[in-house]
Amino acid sequence: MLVIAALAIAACGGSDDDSGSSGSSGAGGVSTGGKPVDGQKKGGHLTVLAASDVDNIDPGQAYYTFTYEVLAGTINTLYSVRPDDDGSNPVPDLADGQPKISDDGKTVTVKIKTGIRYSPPYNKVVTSKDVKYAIERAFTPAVPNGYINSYFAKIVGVQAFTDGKAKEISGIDTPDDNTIVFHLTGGDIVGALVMPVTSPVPEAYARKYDEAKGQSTYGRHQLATGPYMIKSYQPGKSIEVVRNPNWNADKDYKPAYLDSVTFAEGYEDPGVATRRITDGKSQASGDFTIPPDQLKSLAQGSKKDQLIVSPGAGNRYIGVNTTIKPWGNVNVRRALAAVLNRQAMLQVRGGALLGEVANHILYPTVVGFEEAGGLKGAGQDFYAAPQGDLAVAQKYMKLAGYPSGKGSSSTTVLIVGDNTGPAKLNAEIVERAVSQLGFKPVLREVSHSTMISKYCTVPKAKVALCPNLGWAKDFADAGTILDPLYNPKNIVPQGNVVTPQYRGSGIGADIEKAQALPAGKERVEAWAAIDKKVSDLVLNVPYIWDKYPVVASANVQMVNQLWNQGSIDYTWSSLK
Amino acid sequence: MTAYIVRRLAWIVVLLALVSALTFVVFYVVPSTDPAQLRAGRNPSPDLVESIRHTYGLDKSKPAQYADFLERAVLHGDLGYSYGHDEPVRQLIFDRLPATIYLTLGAVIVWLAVAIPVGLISAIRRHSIFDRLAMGIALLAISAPVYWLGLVCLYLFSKDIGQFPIFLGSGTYVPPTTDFGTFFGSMIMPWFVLAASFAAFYARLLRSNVLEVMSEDYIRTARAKGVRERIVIRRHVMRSAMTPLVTVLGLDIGVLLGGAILAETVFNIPGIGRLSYEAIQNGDLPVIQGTVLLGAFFIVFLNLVVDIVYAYLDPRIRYS
Amino acid sequence: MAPLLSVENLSVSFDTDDGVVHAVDGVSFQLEAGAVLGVVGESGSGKSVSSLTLLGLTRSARTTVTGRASFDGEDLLAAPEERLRRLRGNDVAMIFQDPLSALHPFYRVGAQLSEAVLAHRDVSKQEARDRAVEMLGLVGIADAKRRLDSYPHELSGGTRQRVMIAMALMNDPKLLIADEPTTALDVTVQAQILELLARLRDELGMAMVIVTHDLGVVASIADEVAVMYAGRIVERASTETIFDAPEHPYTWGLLGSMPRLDALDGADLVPIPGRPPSLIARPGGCHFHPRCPYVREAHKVVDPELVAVEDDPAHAVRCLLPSATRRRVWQELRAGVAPERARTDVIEAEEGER
Repeated sequence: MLVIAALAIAACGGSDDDSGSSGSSGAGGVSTGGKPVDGQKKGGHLTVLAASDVDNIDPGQAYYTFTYEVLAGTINTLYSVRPDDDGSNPVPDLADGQPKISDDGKTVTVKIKTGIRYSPPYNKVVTSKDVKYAIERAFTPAVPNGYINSYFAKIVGVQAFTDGKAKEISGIDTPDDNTIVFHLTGGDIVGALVMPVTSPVPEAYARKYDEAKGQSTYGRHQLATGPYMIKSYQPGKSIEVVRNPNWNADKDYKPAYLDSVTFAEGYEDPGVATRRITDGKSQASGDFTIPPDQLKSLAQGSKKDQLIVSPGAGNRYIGVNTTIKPWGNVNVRRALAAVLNRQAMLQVRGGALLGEVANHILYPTVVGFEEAGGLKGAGQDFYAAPQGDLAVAQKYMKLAGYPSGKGSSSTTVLIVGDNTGPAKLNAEIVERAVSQLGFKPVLREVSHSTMISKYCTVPKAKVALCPNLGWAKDFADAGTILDPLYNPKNIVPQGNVVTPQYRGSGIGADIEKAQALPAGKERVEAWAAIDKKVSDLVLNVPYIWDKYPVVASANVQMVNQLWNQGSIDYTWSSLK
Repeated sequence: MTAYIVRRLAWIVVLLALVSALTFVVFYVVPSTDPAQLRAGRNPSPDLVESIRHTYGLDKSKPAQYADFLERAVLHGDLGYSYGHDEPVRQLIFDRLPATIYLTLGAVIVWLAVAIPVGLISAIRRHSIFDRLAMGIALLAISAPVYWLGLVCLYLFSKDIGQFPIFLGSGTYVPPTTDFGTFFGSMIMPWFVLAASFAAFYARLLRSNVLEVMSEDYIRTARAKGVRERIVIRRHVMRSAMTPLVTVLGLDIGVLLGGAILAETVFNIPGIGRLSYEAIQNGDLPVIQGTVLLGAFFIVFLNLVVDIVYAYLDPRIRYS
Repeated sequence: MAPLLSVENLSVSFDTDDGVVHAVDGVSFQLEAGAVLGVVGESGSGKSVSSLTLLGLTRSARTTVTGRASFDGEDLLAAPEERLRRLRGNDVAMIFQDPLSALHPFYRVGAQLSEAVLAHRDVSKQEARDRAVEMLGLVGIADAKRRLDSYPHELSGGTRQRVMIAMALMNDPKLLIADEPTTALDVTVQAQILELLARLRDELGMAMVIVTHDLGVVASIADEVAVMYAGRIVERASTETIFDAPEHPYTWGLLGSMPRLDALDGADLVPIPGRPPSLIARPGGCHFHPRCPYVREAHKVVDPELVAVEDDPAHAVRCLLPSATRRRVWQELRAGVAPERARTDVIEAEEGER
């Protein structure tokens, strides 16, 4: 509780020095954060162009950046992040004040604002029971949720609830309509209280949708508490949000200048969409990545004020399977890191505008990044040369037991990568690095979703290297990256993201220990140490820290969500 | 004739069943995505994956899954529930179909309106400058990819990003029932871009048909009868030269109704083509099944229509 | 009285990608009203092109036509297209070989017949149909009314040709040009059609030009026969003379290759050896010399004129052999002697005498 309050004050004092990230992204004078300014105008309509649809419009199921962007104006999570903040300083949203954490860290009490009302047709007042129901439903099969087991499973009674032995989660108490109490078995839940699953869902209204055959249909009938509500949702075509008549501006910190927003989907060609936005009026970019050449000319031209490139959009790494020879040998992995031309991998994605060469797993804007070495990293020689260094690689190959400094060409290495775009080029650079080490690479190129769901998350597929993986934090805590990616406990036969499948060096114990720590300096440093350890052991080879570009029309005062990969924040943006 | 049509319709049903079975097999045999996995998001608990699997019916054996699909499709006309979009596939298809139909029919009108006069004049004035120019342009248009042509047109003529802002650009589609003017304006470029290569192809086809027919004995007969040249062309030449076009036209319409993927993508028209493209990308089997079946249906159905129309146009053809 | 059709020195050449095709070269003939002219020759001899040219059906940018042709006192070659159109199917009608391909496959017989009337006369559709029924009856088609609704492919070959003839008769033409009218038909049907044409000539008093490769076709019907070879008339005479006293080696060849009921000694059919010459690069001298069994060295250089035979001004021949020699050869051939033998007997004997 103390940590959150302290950091919130720091944020108010100015975010120029946050995480050192804005200083690091000096890409030709491009503004790196669209911040609220004085005297923004009220009213008007904004159109956000997007290539794809939301993953699922139901706040209990939503797990995509773009979906968060859409829901940001319609739901109130217990805590949320101001647009100019990198995510490390959540502020109360539905909650009334900071959470109270007991001394042992195992009881977290949150007060809820009074008199918040749902949008039509429900119109009733939000109670703490609605938050409890929102979390409970996310544990049911009708509401598949991608993160609930990672961040909310430490609530007492979850197991009994999911096993069907209890009708509700015993560890969530609602002593009155404005109080919700979480009883934990350990660890931290406070950071996760920004997730959309903490936005209220009234059981009396939602139950009938949640009990529909198959998946819940609540998403199509969802209620809003925020400044906006969803007026229409046509999958793959458009989402329209308009003002919520029941919203009370006094109880929400979001200014909500705009009258309405349309998310227009189906802009498969990012070039056309970008041009449309930069040349047009009252538009902004949604989920697509601006093509590198257009990005460069925008950054250097007269329209550079319409462009915002945000750091902290995630990391990219080669997944390394340490259970397959020769990748069980730490020095072979280090040799791969040493020989890899990470500079080229960044270049094919668009160069310095779109990222930085990575030398550890945590990336800028994640709490713990600075403690883990920041931009410079921990100084290992195998991460020293961005273009790759064959001599260093050979040194490690010798250490690994290859006296010539080269591996045997009879050792085949299965690499599964993407079959399109810069990702394909990245996979091919990895292929080259493997053959430089002397091994025989076998590169299989498939579609991204096939790579993920059939190969790189299935240990049985016996893939050695997966060059097109990446991870983005769910909230500022480094545990949202390091735990899912490295905790041996999370190794599963399907959907496995612990690509190294590495059980040595006490990694598991380290992570468990960090998870059990309450929020605070000690927890941050524990995560930083784990980052150093996994980066040093080269469990996965990090190669890029992503930045994410967004554009808007000249008449848009663009404000973006630094915490949400830099997406446009329409609750703060306005027309000029 | 009726018996023939009934028999053909029965065949269509059999064919569609085969197509759906094939789609099903291809989806599971070639490496593609695991829908439950995708739906579950990252780092899911095995229980969650399992429960999604169960919800989708993916925990049953493959033949049982296909049997379920057939039963629902045949008995209830239910094509299942999209994994990706929260909607029944049938609803999605009905939602997207109008745009594809408007796109296709508009383009058909454009390309026929261009190809018929051009092909005819080229044939009648063979070797003239008009003929050479038209056939040269046609050759270019045939080889111009729709996607490329679409982008070029957008960058040249669209109101938002064009050098010569004349027409509404990408993503301006609205249903004609909402605002006919906007609908029409937004469809002009897609119609012409989609029609370009077809117009070129049909013009060349018609030209060579006309030339062939012009050398037929019965055209000489018509002239020898003293029929006016204009009428010889209109009644005798065109009737014969157009008839083979019907076959091609029917099939082309069938294919386009199954989804004009490229034109729909570049102009952001919410039609069947984009739906199936997205479905393939997301491994959304029910939608893939639905759109493949729809495409197959249009192709075989228009084949039947073509055969019937052909029998009407060419009295020498009789079905029994 | 001036002849109905008079053609003088008609030449037609086509400019093709391979070179200039000399399809018709200096053809002249005259046809009196009610008379029948047979034009006989192998395919590519220019016989069809001549008749099509008279009606303007070969006109195009790449066709050159010279000479004079007048029909009923009207200059056909200089007439504007619209004038020719009014003549076609009205004063001059044509029928063609292979009536299946000459009839439009997609239209009913009735419509195709009516069209011939409607193209020239301001009559109602019903009147045109009535006329069609009448003409179908005239050409001997039973159940004419019902036939109007038939498509060409539903009719027999003979009936189709009767339909073609009926179509030609729709406007009471003064001249009928029949281009290979029986070629695509069975032998028995051929005879019926020829009978029909002969009857029509007698009943309607129409002049006819019958273009054919088969001398047998013209035997019974033509008053006069013109034999064409390589775009030229090589022999012209009354039908009787052509069969009894032909003087051109090519005509002999045609007669020799013609099945005849009165063939002497059961003589074998003798086809003309060799192939018709290319009309782009025609042989020098007499165009027939490469195939002529009686050729002399000089014939390869000197181009013969079409000249009248001494005692018969109506009989003209284009041959360099002296008339006496020709008659001697014909006597031999007529007696059943093979051409090679005849050559030895007559030509080489003559050369020996010299």
